[in-house]
Amino acid sequence: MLKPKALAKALQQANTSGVRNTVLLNSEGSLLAFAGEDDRDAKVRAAISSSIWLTYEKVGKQLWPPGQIRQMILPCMDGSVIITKVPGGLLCLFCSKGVGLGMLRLKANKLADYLDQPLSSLST
Amino acid sequence: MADDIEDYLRQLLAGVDGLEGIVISDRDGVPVVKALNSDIPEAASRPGFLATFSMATEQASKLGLGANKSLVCFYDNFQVVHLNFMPLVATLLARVDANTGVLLGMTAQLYDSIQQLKEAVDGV
Repeated sequence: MLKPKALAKALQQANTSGVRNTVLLNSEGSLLAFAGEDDRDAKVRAAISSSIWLTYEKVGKQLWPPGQIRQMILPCMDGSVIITKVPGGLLCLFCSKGVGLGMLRLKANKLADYLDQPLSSLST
Repeated sequence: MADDIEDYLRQLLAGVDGLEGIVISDRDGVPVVKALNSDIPEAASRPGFLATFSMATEQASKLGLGANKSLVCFYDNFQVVHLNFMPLVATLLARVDANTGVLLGMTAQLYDSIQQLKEAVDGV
C-alpha cells in the first residue's frame, strides 16, 4: 500500500525553482496527496483541474482517430498548471510566473514515471 | 477580409512543421475563419469541440493563477493549442511531435488578424 507521508515527500521533490504545489488526484477528482505552500485551496484546485481534464478527455474520444489524453498545460497570467495522467488518477503541478513550460513538463514527466509502478500496483 | 485572413492562416500552416489546422472561432465555438489540412478530423473544427475552451478557460481562471492565457492538450497522436483572444479563440491543431513552443508563440503572429476580426465583429 502507499504510505501517505512517503507519497507527500515524493511530491515535494518537484516543489523547487518556482513550482509551488504538487497534487495527486484520483480519477474522480478527489485529493489523494498534496505537497506545497498553501493547502487551503488544494481541494478546489484539484476539483477544477479534474473537471477540465475530464472535459477534454471526453472530446478527445469523439475525434478521429480516437485519442487518449495524456497531458495538459494551462499557462495563466500569474503562473501555469500542468496536468499529467498517472495510473488511477492525475498529477498536477502548479508553478509561479517565470517557470519555463519545458522544465515544468520535465518535472511532471519524471514524477509521473517515478509514481507509475507504485500507483499501478494500487489500481490493478 | 476573411479571404485575406484565411490566406494568411494558410501561410502560417505551411510555415510551421506539424501544424495541420488553424481555426478562429467565437466563444460559442462557431468558426469564423479556418484553414485546415486534409488530415484533420472533421470533428475538430465543429462548434462542439471548439467551444470546450470557453468553459475550460473560465474554470482555469479560478485556479488562483490569474486569467488563463492559453491551453495545450496532448493526445496520443496530436496536440491542440487554444489561444485566448476572448471573445475570439484561436485553435491550433497539430501533430504530437510539432513544436509546442512555436505554437504558443503564434499568439503574436495571430494578434493583428484577430484584432481585425474583433473590429469587424464589433461593428456588426
